[in-house]
Amino acid sequence: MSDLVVKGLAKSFGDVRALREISFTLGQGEFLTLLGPSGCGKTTTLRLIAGFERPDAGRITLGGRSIVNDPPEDRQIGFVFQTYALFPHMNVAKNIAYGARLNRSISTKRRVGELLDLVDLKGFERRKPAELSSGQRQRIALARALAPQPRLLLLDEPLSALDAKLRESLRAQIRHIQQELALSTLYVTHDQEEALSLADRIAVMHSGTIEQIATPQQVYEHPQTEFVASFVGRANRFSGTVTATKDGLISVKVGEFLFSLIREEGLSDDLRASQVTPGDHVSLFVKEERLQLREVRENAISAQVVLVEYRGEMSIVYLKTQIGSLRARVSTRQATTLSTGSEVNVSFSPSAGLLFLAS
Amino acid sequence: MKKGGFLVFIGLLAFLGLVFYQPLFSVLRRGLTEGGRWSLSPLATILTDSYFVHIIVFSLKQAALSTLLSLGIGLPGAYLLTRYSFPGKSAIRSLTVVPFVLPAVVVALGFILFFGESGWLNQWLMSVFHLPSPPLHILYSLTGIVLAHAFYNAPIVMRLVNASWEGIDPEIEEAAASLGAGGLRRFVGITIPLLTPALLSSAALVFIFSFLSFPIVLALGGARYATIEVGIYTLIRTLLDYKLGSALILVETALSLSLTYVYLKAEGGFATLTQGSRRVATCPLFSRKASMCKMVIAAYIIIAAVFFLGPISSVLVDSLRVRGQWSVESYRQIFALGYNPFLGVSPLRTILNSLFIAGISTAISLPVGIIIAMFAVRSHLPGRRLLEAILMAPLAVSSVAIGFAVLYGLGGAPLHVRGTLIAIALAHAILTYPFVVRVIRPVLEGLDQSLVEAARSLGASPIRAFFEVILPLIGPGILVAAVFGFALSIGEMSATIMLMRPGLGTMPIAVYSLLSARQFGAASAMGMILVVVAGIAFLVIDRLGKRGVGCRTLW
Ligand SMILES: Nc1ncnc2c1ncn2[C@@H]1O[C@H](COP(=O)(O)OP(=O)(O)O)[C@@H](O)[C@H]1O
Ligand SMILES: [Mg+2]
Repeated sequence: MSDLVVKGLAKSFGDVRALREISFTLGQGEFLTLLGPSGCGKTTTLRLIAGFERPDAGRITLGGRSIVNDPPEDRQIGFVFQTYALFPHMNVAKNIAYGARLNRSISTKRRVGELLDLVDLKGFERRKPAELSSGQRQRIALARALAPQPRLLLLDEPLSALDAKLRESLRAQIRHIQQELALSTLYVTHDQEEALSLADRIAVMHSGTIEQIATPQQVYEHPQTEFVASFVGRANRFSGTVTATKDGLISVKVGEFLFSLIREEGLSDDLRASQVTPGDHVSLFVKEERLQLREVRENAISAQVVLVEYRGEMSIVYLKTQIGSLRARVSTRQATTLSTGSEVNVSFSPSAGLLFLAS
Repeated sequence: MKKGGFLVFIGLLAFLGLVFYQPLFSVLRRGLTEGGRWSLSPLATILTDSYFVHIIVFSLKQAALSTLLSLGIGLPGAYLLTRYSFPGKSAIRSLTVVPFVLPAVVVALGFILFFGESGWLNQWLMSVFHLPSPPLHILYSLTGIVLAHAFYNAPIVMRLVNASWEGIDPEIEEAAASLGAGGLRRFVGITIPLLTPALLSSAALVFIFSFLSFPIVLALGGARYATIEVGIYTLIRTLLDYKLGSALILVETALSLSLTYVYLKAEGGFATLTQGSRRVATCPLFSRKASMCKMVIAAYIIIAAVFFLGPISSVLVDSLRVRGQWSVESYRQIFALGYNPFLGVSPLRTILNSLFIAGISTAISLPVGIIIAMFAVRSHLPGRRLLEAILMAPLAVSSVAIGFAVLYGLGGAPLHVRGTLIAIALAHAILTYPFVVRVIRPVLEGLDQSLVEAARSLGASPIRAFFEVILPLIGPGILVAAVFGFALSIGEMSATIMLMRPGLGTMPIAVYSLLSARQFGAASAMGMILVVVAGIAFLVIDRLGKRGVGCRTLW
């Protein structure tokens, strides 16, 4: 059963079309992440669902009932703001109790205790928000949003103001709490690592539309659009022309080089459906971890090492070739054998390339 | 909600149009008509008559000198506040607000009692140096006016420049040092350019205040040293020449609007200030190590202390001395019910009048100021910047002109307030609402809009969110604005004197009348009440001001 259904949502601010057409469903207890670059309309989507703005067009139903005309206070939707928005004049206990108090069916005092337990902040009841670290504020904001027992939780980049270590531990904590409560959750972020690690499903957004909704693995390995391919993961992109298609192989000419790809693996969904014919202009994506420097197989280019960047277990190798600059991710053990300025051969397997029709 | 707000705003515009813009325009039009027709001849009279040209030039000259002296006294203070630490530093920084709420006529009284021919300073100098006659002759001259203006404005310079100086990221100077710039080079090449917006805007502000100053010039200038403000007052209240009075107002308003434009330009420069993560390092002022530099600083502090504390202490001491004896007789006089020949009413009546006027004035200026501040913060109307500037116009129009506008333009239908306390209260409301806006606006700007949304998403209705979230957060700011507006009204004399009728006197007018009649004891006692009101206002502003009502907003 799907809990939240959003259909054909559109919203403009003056000349700015923040949302063009947003449709998705969120199942009961599901964790869906909206992932996209800043300015693509993620916050606007959340604000429309929470009721802080009215959509120009589209439907929003929660549990089968339209909520578009409800004021925010009647929607029972929890919201965690990017800047937390804790009430500065109330202490932690009062902040958390605020929503519980308005919902008469809840015993306020017990609820505050439970929630402080849940977010690991027992004993902080009397502190004012100004006396908390940003990680603690973030957890109080989460506790406050959960206090009235919302039907749906919305989080707008809740970790973006925190440092990397804290981000990772709070991320796990949020996911844990969400699963514990089996709470339907919509989580906004521009950080792909966060989206990939957290979500049941990811919706990748781009200038007011959703480009793909799928599991993290599908989004990563089978991006449906060129935008998703370039936004999720790190890929090298080439522009080329199709020269031949036969025996389940496609040949693509990039500069002086001729690459061959396996048809079944190398075509994005929309390309697979249509016919690829020689002469088509295409974009070819190869993820940085799929470039190989060791044994030369098919699809080889000679390259010069520009820089080797140490990243712990893995290293990033920057390369210069006749068809542009490339990034390859290889094991550090292998990278230590490379010196700046040396010549290497780069190659990738025919199953590693992904083609999109050039727009 | 949105529609309601819009209607309230339209109502506000209509109200201000009726009580301020239309009256002011009718005054300005009066200055451009002759025998019922448009004419430039009143203006021509003003600009060719040697007397009027003299007072215009004198107004600008005294304002320029006052600005120079205020900078001269204020900048060393700003330097000390920025670079040194000493006990009472934060108190001194807060006290720089005091002149703003201290009525000018009390300052004038203090100057007469302290710097006058038979004032405390001359008496002390005569007895210490065994002089036969008073050595200082500074009252009733340009010097007296300029000194009194510096008393008022040097603290403003000190405060604004200090705030800007402390805002400079020390890392900028450190960067210059690491690039090889020595102390003097850093000061000239880095510090001064970064302080320039603050220097310019405080200089422009002091110039405007001094240019439009009225009670000080009236009380300390004597007949020979009239400024435009005094000229307008004399033309209208003594000579009853409304035509030339209006023409002079026209000239003055043109000048003050241009000056205000310069000020706003310079103030805009503040926006580019760097915000450092660390504060400027300070060194203790009082340490064992004596140096030449410390001697100069000590001399400055002693002179400044005498200059600022002398006049106010004189008012206090004089209010408690009658014929060489300590006594509370003066206070008994001013709380008396009986008719006072110098005031034309009982002294107690003037106190009650002042309280009544300040109450009504605050009741008007507070909502007006809040509505304008909300408009300034929330509205997305095209042209709202211009509208906002126009709504702040009373800041750039002299108080005497506003008083006359209310007298001349608002006398008859539909309000029928001529010759009543309400007319004075209206003038005060017009004069003070821009300050309410300046206090409330940053409070509203600092209010995170998502707090309301957070409350709503937790189940609070809009009204509930207002009372439980918004009001507790802006309440202190509103209280500060109300107290500030009240104090400004209590001390206001310029517009009041234009609207004076027998029986309508207020406390500042009483101080002025009593000092003109050389009843210094009673004048001082009345002055002390005004000082106490100003002191209470200062305490409230200072206490609550710490929570988000920055002092920069006052100017
Ligand atoms: N209240 C608003 N007024 C005007 N433009 C807005 C407003 N809110 C958002 N926008 C615009 O809509 C677009 C999407 O904004 P937003 O939803 O905040 O993006 P995101 O959260 O993905 O960074 C942006 O171009 C932004 O400038
Ligand atoms: Mg956003």
